Amino acid sequence: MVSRLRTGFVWVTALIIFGFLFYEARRASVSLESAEVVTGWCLLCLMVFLALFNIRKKLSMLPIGKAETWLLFHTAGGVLVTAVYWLHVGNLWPLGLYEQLLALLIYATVLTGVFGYVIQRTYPKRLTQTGVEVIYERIPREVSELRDQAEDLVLECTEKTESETLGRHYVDTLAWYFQRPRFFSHHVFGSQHGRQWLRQQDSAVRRYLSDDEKVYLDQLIELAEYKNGLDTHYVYQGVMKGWLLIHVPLTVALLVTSVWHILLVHIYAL
Amino acid sequence: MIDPKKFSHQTSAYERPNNKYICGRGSNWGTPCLSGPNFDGTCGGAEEGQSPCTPRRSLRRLRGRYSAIIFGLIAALLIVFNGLPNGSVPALSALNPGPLTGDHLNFVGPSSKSCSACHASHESSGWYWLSSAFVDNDMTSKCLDCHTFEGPARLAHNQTISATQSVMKTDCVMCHTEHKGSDADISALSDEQCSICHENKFDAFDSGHPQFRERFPYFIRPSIKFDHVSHIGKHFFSDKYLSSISGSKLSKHSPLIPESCITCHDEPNADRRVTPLGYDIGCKGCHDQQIAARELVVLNLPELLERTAEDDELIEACGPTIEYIEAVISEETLVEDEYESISGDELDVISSFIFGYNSDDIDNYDQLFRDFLSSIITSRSFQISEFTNERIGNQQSKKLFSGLNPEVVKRLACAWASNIEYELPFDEPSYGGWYGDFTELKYKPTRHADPVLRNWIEFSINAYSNAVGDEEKERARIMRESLLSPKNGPGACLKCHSVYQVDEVLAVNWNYEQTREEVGPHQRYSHSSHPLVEARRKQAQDEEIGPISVENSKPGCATCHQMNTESDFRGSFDRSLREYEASDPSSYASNFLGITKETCASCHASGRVAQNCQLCHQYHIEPNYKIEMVLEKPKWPLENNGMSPSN
Repeated sequence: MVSRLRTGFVWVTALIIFGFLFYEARRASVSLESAEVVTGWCLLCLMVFLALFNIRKKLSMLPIGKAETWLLFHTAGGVLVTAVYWLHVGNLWPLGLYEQLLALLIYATVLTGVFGYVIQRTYPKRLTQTGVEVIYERIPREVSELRDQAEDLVLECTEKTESETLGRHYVDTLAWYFQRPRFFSHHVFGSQHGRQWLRQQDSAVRRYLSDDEKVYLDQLIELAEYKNGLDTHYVYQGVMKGWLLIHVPLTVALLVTSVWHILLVHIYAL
Repeated sequence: MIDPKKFSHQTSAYERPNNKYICGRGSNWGTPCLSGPNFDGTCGGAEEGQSPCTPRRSLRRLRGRYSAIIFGLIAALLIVFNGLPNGSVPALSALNPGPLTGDHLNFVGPSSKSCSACHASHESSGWYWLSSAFVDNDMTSKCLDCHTFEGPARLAHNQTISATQSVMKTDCVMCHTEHKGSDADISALSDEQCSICHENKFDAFDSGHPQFRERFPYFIRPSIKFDHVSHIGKHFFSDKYLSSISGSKLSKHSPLIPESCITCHDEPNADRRVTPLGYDIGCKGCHDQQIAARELVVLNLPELLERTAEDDELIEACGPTIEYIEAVISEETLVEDEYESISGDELDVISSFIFGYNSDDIDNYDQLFRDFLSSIITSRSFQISEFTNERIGNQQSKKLFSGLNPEVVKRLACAWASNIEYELPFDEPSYGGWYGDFTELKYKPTRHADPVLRNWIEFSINAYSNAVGDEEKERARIMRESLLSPKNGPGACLKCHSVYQVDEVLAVNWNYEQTREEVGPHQRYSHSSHPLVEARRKQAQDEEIGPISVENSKPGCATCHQMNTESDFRGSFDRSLREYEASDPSSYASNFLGITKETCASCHASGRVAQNCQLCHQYHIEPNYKIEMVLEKPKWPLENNGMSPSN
């Protein structure tokens, strides 16, 4: 309840700020004053404020508010920046080349931000549904250990049952699967293709196995399904971290271009 | 499946997400090294039997690296594209916020160097260029390098408005901002923007605009006194008038009578004014013969007290007279009768002014006039300016007596000196010009706009103000009234051409548009953009409606221009004719009723035709360009635009 109130408060504040800027811009325009000066400086302040979120995450030791609160401000601020940009420019797409670069960077930054916001809201729920909980940085070790366990299991099966059917099948198919996270693109879109692939491998070999071998196969499939959960984590957590590889550099480019823009405006127009 | 216990400081690597590096072996999906990478990017220690790995950069490290790269890339691009084009590819310039409007582009050219035409800071470079960010840009002064106005450029509406009004300082860029594209309208203002300064605020023309001034827009006498009411109401369509001049060419269906307003007014080229098509089309048919009859008597033989010259002098200068020849043949001696002047007239008003004596002052003008005649008949190079210089001047004399044949003057003078009337050897000259007739030297106008008559009218108009002393002023006044009387001679010109005063000097409106309308410098109107004129023409072609004529001009011109049959149109001019010195052109009663706001609002209203401020008002007074823009090479480069001065 408190969180909702806080969220509502932040969004209403953003709306009020935009309303004030809209009124001020209109008043300035009607009064034949330069509305762009007010909206432009506000825009820069907002962009700097949004960029501070990245610094805040690096300075987690400082008591400057919870990251959750910062994210809320960051989200509302991002929407506000878009609206104020349109107010500042007066159209959707400017005419000059470097102004177009500026617009392109704003739109790209906002769009990557929206993408990040959407995946931050949807991927954690899907990760919970995997039943696996793992730290992203530990996934390589988990995969390595699973691979070792699977190979040990197959060797044990070969030795005890004196049949190499499961071993051949592992070498031909499942060894590839345990090598590293698989079905990246399917996991990105929430597809269950990995699990389906495992079932196909299971049913393909099961009819040729003895009862003893089937016990080993069940254990192997159990490891593979856990690996599928790890793959999902790897993909989702990777995307949730990786989008910032685009969003943050774009923000930097946007700030550089904005500073250039302000410089030009003051040199040539004001 | 995951055993939390397997992760501890003794059994597993300690993952540090904030580290700059991650294990290279784990990145390749092998078994990660137990100790992970060191801070400097080296392997922290492989497990037993493993070789050291090559750690790889963490995501955080990559983010920072990418950010630095793109920072450098963008900064480099901006610097490179700022400096590189410099005229070659201005569209790529990192300084170019967008295309100029076509008009400005044509003048300054597309080169990025031409930025300095409007931006003074563009001329500097390096540190000075950067430091200009902290100096105010006076863009207006750059605008005024090319643009001119009929008033202070930096004041609202280019005029000094009452100090009681709080009108802010104005700059061009407050209303006009560039770089919005070649087709952008950089002069458009909203009604709200207009009303921000105006104390009388209203929402729309039809609901709040003040009523037009009385007599709008007929505030100033027209230059040509064409009485629409008398012409249309009397001369063109009055049966009584037409029958009273039976025998003339006029009738209701005469081709001399205009079919409609645009028979005499230039509608195809109409803009603010629908100018008359001129004398030849509008007036000549009825008035040309009247002009030829308006002769000017410049000199009249006055009564003289004595003979001008002795007979032998006359015979030597002018040749023998018939009486002298008859006396020689009959060998008789000519008997001199007692002198009695052939003329009993007083000195004419023009001679009176020129010679400087009152018309009835025969005791004084007698000798002077006889000397004048003697001079004519005895001098081989007679210059009339010798007698007129004092009051006319040599240059003026040349204009006034332009075309005067000395032979005509001499013959006339000989006759007058012989105390006989001069008889023309033929009828009056039908083609106009100077000629003597009995006791008068006359000028017959050759055509409309005769230059000699024009010179005499202009001379007589200003003779009064140029005269010195009461007596001379009185003679000048008498001459002016006589010469400009519409009843006689060239005064008839002023029946159509009005007189105006500029800087204490009176002048005649010989052309239609010599006087300036006083409808307000900020108002604009275009007849051509109003569909009524076109609609009238189309309806005239429609047989069912019938032609729209002068008699029935609705719904054409008369929609707005309704005649005022009660007005004293000619009286305004007649009064000014009598009182040249107090000639107030605004004291005038038009032929037409003033146009009211309701007339315009019948179309320009909410839900109908546009009614924004700029439709009828312009902000500036007489916006124009400096002549140097056309005549001299601008100081900014004009490469690659085909607009160099040599072109």
